[in-house]
Amino acid sequence: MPAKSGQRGFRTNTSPLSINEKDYQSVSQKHEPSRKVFANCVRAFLVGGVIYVIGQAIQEAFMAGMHLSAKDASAPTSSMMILLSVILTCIGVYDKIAQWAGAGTAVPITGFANSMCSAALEYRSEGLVLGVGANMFKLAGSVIVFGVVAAFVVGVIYAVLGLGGHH
Amino acid sequence: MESLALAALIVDSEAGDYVLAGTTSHNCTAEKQFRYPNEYGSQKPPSAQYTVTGSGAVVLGHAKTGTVVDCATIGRVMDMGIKDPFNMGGAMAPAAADTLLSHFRDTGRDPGYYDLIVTGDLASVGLPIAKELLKKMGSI
Repeated sequence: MPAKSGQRGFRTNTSPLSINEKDYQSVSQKHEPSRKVFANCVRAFLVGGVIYVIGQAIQEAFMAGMHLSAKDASAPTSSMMILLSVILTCIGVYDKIAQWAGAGTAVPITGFANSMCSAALEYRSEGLVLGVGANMFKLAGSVIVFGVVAAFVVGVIYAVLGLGGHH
Repeated sequence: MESLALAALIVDSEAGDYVLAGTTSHNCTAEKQFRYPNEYGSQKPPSAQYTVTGSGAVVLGHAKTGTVVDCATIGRVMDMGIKDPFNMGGAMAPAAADTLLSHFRDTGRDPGYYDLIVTGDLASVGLPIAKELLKKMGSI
């Protein structure tokens, strides 16, 4: 029961919590736990390094087993790394490794594969075309867009400066 | 909480003898809706919260004994410009503090009246913020 229900009509419409956005954000920021930057760097270094060592081992195996040159072996090596990442994503392990490793799993090609695979898995329930097809690049799309834009800008700079390139 | 308040109103106005009020949430839909795909390998900051997969329900009736719904104060949306989906405590704390202040102003009670004041999932980041806001407003 409200104490003075007869006075309810006189309630002012102002919020009882009088704090503006800027002040609140400084309060909120003060309470936000800080990230362990140094530990994250070490973990990213270790996990990223391990991923590259695995990639190198696969490349060596292709070179020795199928007598490919280092350059020819790089394409099937990337494919194998993508396949491994997609399998780990599908069985729900990749995101758990990533939580520990941070940038270590995000930067290599496996991170790109994970971003596409996870989006594809998530939107499968919305159909193949409008679900998987439309949303697969939801996370990876920005990488493609800015990659193309950066390549274009660099290309223009090269052309203007007359540095040439492949003809 | 809103459904509980509505259910209590329905029982009190004798529109229903027994009313079941419930709420539910699912981790995967919350992740998909507000954050990234579930299997996406991004590192969550320490302020990130985990949406529980679960539900709770309560039946309200006219029984004269046991716990009763005495009164309810409906909160309001407080958008303080926290845009980080990994800091739900920070986003929700002002609304919690505002609702408590409204409740105390509305009923004329003070926090000491209650044995226990329970909020939603403010957690380790949101709770200290809400406490600080209430202290600032001179409520606790």
